Amino acid sequence: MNCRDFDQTWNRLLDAESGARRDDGPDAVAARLAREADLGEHAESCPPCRIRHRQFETLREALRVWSARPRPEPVAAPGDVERIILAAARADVPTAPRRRSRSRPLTWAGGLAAAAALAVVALRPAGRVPPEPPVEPAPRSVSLDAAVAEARAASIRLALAASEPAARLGLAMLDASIAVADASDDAAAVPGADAPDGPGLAARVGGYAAAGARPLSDAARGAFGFLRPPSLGKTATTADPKGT
Amino acid sequence: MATMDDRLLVEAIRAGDPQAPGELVARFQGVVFGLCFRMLGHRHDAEDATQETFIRALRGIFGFDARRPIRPWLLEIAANRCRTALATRARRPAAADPARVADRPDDRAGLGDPDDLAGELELALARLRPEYRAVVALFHEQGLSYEEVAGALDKPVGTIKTWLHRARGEMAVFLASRGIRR
Repeated sequence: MNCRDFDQTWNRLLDAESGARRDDGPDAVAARLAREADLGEHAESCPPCRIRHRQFETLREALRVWSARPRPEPVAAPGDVERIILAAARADVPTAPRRRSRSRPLTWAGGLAAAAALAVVALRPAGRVPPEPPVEPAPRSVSLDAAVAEARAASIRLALAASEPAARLGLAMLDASIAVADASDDAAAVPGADAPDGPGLAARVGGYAAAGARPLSDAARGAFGFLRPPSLGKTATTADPKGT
Repeated sequence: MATMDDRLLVEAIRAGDPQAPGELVARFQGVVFGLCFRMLGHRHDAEDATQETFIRALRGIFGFDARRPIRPWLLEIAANRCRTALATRARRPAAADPARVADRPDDRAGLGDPDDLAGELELALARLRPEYRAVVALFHEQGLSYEEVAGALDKPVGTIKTWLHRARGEMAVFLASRGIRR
């Protein structure tokens, strides 16, 4: 045996006895003993390989102990397998098969995806989703001016529809605030008692803005300042908060 | 289901058997996780890579040649996921994120127990290059043959043998440097 054979023989020895490969039958044991004898004989006659021999003996023992330890296992969390299956079924980027046509259906994936979709529909709370607003059909042939005018009117209607509930609420709050401040029993100051429509609503909010009524903040007064009636001065603090 | 062989298991998944994907995971997650854990050296990263491996395997099950053994195919996917994770980790700034600390033993000199041979081997393993570590784990820990390891890591058998022999040599020298004697 030369030094190159020495390393090779050690590796064959380690190959044959790692974990499940270890064979303790009589033939295997005889072969192992013969190899060990050859290795020991060479190590005795070769000082560099003697050091190597000791190192490999230590490694061999360490591998035996290490291989016998429990293998690392993942920490099982509830629902792991279901998450894997659902993620695979989502197939945002389906993996293309290498050797077969994609015409075969992903039966299990389809079933799981359908089940997931049904679960989502079933779990959705009834009546909480507002109905879609009706969509008015567009006229087939209109002039540009008419189309612009219609779009403008539609935008205004939409803005009014969207902001009116908030404006009414704010106005009611302001009415109540003024009523408390004035200690007035005037029925007209009762929130919502005479809630105006359209321009009247805007004018009343503008009146509060011009009057510096609390609890409108400076920022809110600035934001609503454009609604101030022209008849009210910037410093007018005695204006009728209701804008009438 | 417990006695179903791997080929029948693949056919069951393709046929839409609802139990079959779970059986695939249960049967192979140990070996897949073992490889990922050894390659990545981090438990959470290994668990993520294991999950990604099975997701990709289930998505690609119709492209798999059922005449081949499935274990090397799964390990090949796992090794690819680990390489991607390692590349991502290498690009990440080396911030002191406690969650990124690898599950590695403390290898400072004098801190080890010379009688804890398995622990010392863990230290030696942790110092190897990731591909050497993967080969040692698959061959010695998971009991795969050279051919299976070669299939899993997509390398020739000769390369795998060379890597394993070098890995053993490096580990033997490391143990000696730590004063470990048999």
